[in-house]
Amino acid sequence: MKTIALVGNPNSGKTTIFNALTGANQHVGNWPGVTVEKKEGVLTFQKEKYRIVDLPGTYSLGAYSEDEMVARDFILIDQPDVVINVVDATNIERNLYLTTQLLEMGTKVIVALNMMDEAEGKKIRIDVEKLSKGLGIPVVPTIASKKNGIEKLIEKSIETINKKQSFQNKIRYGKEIEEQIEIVKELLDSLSLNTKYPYEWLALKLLENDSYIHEMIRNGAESKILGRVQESIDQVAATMMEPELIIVDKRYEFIRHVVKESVKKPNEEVVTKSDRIDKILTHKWLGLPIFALIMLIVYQLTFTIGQDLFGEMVAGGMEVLGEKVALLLINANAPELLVAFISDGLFGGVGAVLEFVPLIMVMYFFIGILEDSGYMARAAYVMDRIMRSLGLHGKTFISMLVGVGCNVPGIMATRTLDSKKDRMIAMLINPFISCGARLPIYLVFIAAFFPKHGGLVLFSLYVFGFLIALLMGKIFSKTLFKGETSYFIMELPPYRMPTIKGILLHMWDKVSSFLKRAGTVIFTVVTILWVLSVLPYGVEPHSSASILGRIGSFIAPIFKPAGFGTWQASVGLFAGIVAKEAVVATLGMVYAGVEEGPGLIMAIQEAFTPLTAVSFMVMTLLYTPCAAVIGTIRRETNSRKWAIFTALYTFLVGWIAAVLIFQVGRFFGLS
Amino acid sequence: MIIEVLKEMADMPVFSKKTLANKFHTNDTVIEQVLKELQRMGCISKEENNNGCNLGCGSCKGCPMASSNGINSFTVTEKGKRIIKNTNLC
Repeated sequence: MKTIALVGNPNSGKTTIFNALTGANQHVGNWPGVTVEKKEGVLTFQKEKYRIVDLPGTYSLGAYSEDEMVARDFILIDQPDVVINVVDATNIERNLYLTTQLLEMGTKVIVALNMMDEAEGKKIRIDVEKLSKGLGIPVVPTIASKKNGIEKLIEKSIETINKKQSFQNKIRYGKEIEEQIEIVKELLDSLSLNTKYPYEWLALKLLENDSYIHEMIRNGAESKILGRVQESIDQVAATMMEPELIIVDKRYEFIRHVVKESVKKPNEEVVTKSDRIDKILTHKWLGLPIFALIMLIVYQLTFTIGQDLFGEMVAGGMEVLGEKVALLLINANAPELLVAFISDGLFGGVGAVLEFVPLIMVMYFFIGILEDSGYMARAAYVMDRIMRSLGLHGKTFISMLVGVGCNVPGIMATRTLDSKKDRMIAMLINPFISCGARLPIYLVFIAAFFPKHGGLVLFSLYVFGFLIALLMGKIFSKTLFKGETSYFIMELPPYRMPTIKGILLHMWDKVSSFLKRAGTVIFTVVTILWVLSVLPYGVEPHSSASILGRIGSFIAPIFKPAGFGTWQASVGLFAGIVAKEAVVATLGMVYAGVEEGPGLIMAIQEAFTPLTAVSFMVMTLLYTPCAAVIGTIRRETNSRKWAIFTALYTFLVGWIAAVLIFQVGRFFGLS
Repeated sequence: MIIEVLKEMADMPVFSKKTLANKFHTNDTVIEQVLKELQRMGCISKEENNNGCNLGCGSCKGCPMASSNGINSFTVTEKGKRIIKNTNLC
């Protein structure tokens, strides 16, 4: 039985043609040794039976995936009587790359030019005769979904099978390459290798640096010929460039020539809508203010929707739940300590963090929209120019953007930086980028002192952190890590309408890790701190006489120049080194001692002033990152020294900034 | 065309497949293929940014987050730079 193989790009309609040819006469299995699906069927035409093999969909016939290997080996080793190359007529240029590789194999090929109706719909006019002449093989237009052209395809296939020789146009690789192909081919001829691959194709693949073929020869008896092949490669590379590049380039040149002669496409808009939008969004002077404005709107919306709409609802719900649980425990005669732990520790601490989940959700919802729409890549490009002008690598901004979610992946994202200098700077400044865990701290203080300007204050904090990061980056590039900055090219993805699923997943990614930490790290921290806040036995819980109070009182003088030298604030900052969410949880717990009504925000209003609130927020923005970040820096730099350095220098920067804000503010009469 | 695309990329700090496609009178899927070939040959390297996804599903296949418009960047490798230099000399 003669064999007809079907090969084509994914989504070219290959399977539809296979079904049209075989009908119900097909069976599915696996190719030997791989997990690639094998489909075979039988075609009966004019009383003759033909075996039809549907090869895996592939864009090329290299050796870079199992699909490619299966298709290529079947054509070269099993040698079907004819190969039908299914080509998507709407994307002919891309599909013809596979065709060029089939031509190189010297096998009998015919092209099924499929989806002709869609091509016509797109006003793509294809001169089938000219295309056939250009390729040197038969071309049959088909619309497989309507079974149009199938009979003609079968007839042409049988005609081609019965032809003695295949007449194809050869791809010209240029004199230098063709000479070397000939030399290597003769060498292979003289060795009579134990392979079914045609020598001319083998020679081409060796020059193209096909890793699979090189490996095959290396493992064979005639591995010495690889030295001669390398000589050929070097010879061409010395006068021109690497043969593999020339070979691929010539394939594209061949395709362009064939397409130019046979395909007419409607004049595509050269300046697209996307280009016009980019002209504004990535404008040299307008790009940055637009980015700033967009982010300001995002933060403002976060407050308006997150706090005013959902935040208060969740906070109210949490309060009621806390009271109900406490009441339930009292009625059940639960020990006093347990009731205190549940109401002050759990609901006052962990609950205080959970109240901000709606805001975090809303913020990442909007950031998700910006990312999904393709805008964030534009923002990264706008920032890249600024980074470069400061002598920093543009990719540093990408790691900063990731750091907005969490500094740990932000630091991991610096792995894409090639030079050690660029990477070290990017890692050391990433902790200044305000992560999601710090958000509840700002939200508590903003709600307490600046509820009408929430968006603006939040935006200013993010910008301040970013500016400090840039400043430190500049200082590091001039002192600790001198050297040239390497450059990279950024890809601007097409604009697209964000999908709800994508945005919700994005949001859930951030919120779930926040919730996970609230249920694990924060819970543990709160439990330990709560125990410390009620010990030694007999002291007033959550007072300065407790162990926690004494620790806080010991640290507090450090923060006195910054205006928040209380033991509660100090303990909060101390807990923040374990995890930043723990700052609010701790404040919630230690201020739960004031109970009688006011709640955390009112307690904060009593303990802080607007000025000290700002200096406290700036301190939390800049000071020592959480343990996970310090650990990541240690792991990524492979040095304890840099981890300790980061912990200390960020603390110093945060402290200096907080002190400056408080002292300068006080000097100008602010309170 | 592949060499021209490489040269063009080296000259621009930012690009989109569409702009390159317009420049070379082709479509963006061909440019995508060319970029893959350049990557395979070690002339450029691609760095994908997954936005620090923590979902931990084990596979990004079919995930709208993985296919979302993240920030991808390319670097012209030493090999790529050498090829550009050599072709400029030719």
